[in-house]
Amino acid sequence: MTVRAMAGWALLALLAATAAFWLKYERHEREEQLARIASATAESHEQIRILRAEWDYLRRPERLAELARRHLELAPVAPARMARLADLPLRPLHPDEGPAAGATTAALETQGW
Amino acid sequence: MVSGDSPAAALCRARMIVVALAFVAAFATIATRLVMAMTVAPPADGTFAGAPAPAGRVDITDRNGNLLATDLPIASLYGEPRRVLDAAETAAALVRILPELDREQLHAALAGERGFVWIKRGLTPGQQAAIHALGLPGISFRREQRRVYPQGALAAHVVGFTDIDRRGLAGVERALEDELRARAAGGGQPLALALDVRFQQAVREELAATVSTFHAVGGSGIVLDVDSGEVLAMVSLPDFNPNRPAASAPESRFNRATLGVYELGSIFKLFTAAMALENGVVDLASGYDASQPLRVARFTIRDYKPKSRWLSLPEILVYSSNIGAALMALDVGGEAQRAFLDRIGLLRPVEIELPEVGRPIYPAVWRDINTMTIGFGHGLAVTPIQAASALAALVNGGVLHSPTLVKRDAGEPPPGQRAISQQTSDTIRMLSHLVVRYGSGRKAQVEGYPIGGKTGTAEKLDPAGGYAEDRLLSSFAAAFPIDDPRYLVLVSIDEPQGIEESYGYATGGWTAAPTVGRIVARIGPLAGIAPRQGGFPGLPATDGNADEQWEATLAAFRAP
Repeated sequence: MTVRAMAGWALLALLAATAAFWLKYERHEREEQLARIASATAESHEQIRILRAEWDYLRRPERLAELARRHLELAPVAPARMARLADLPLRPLHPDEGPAAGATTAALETQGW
Repeated sequence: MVSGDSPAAALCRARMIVVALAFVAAFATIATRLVMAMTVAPPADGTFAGAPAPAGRVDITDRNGNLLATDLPIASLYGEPRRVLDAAETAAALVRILPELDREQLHAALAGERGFVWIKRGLTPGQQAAIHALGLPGISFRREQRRVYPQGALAAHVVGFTDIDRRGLAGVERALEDELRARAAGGGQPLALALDVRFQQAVREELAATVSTFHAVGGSGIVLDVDSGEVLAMVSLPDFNPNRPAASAPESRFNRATLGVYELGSIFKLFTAAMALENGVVDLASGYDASQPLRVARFTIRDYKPKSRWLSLPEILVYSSNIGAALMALDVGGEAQRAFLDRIGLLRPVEIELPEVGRPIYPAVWRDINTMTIGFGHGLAVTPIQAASALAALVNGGVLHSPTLVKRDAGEPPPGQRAISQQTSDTIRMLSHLVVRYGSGRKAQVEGYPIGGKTGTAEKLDPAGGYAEDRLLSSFAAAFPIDDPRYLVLVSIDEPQGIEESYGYATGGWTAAPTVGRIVARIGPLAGIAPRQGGFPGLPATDGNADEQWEATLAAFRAP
């Protein structure tokens, strides 16, 4: 065993120890970071749950009906007020001519109906 | 010494090598573990540390994803008596903020020897802040989850509720406890019920209006998808707030739609007619003599509004003749009637995702008099959900689907058994439409949606024995659109009182039928069913004099 070999081993041991030490702290820091993100995620999940519940509470049909009664001049759609587009008498494109269903339907279609 | 050729030296060297190897292995293991312990994090109880903790119970939603039940975090207050400095002062301070607590009890608890006592589960944020500001030693908060029902009383009987530790006590919460927990462990996918909150709201509102108008003690309303058995709405009044079940009266927690068993009266004439048609006993032209009240043993069967003549099958239903229905049932026979009622699911408790299911009541010995009274809906008590599901089978083409509160997969055909033939079902639909057009169900008519239905008015059993004439159960069952039914609506009003506007009547035709009409008018557009004019295909047009049309219809049935 030469002194040089001894020094080499000692250096190697020192390097290994430093690396292990550095790794340990690096890991610790990463773990803390992970825990922070995890708790922030959990917090966000919880907030989403709360807001979701509140949203569904605020738009429950009973409340919407009451708000609509109070603020809107709208009534629920009665069956008699519903019709198919095809059943509607359409205004003629040219008032002088009689109703031309084909022409108006075509006109509506070009407008994206 | 190296030369050692002696066996003892060789053995010694071999032993040393073995020991040295063992030490090398041991130190290598220790070194590896050391490095691993420093660098690799141990798995935290098998899950990724960042995943939120399993909630324990998944949310319950309606068929469109509206929340019916969810878990919300909430702070609870507990004390550690050993760390409390002055129990009397602490108790006094807490009672100032939480006046509902009993000061003496709290003092005793905090002065005791226990390590942990709950003081109050579920604080409001304001209370929590106020108590936190007191800075009392030995008093701390703990975050808990609490079951919350954002829709309040809307679907209370269906969803049910849990105890403070979130164990299901009633409704779906109890019946599907295992499913709710299993889903939470496996990904947290919410449980979607078949209910639609908009349907539920329409039924609840209209039912409540009728119950209050007729000063009734309660009522139930059900909307069933006739092709899948899905329950779109189920309401039982009076109801309760599942967020505070303890604050409600016990009778409000009773689910009339599934737990209550009732004799539904004349609605059963549809079953009798279907059974008679199915057994080939009658056709549209044949009928029975209803000129005289029937005397059987010591009973007399009368008609509510007697015509006192021979009545054909359509007339028996439209005029709701008890005599006609009784004779028709007798013609079919008790054994066949029992078999039919069993096949259509009226003699066994219904299978549905609720713990609250009533058992039907029927005579142990099926005599002729029972056959006759059951023919017009007395003597067999069933739950409304059971009746609704059987009626759905009458109008949907003849297939009985078990009712379900859980949303079915759109792709899968719902399970079911054939109960009656397609042809009988078609005839029943047409007959039920006649009842709405010309009979006791006229007040259920809705412009745009042709419906078919049957009224039922049953006297409730008097606790003193016999039937009580002034305590009625008035019902109406309807399917719409009757030429190709989508939904079945069944409404029962418990003990309605006649009022001036109904000329003192409290029958099904005056109470439940208009309610069903209003419900149909509201849910039809919601379901996207296109309204249309005209009545049932194959029947005379709807315009003109109703009496003349009715006569023309009957004449058409009589013609060969």
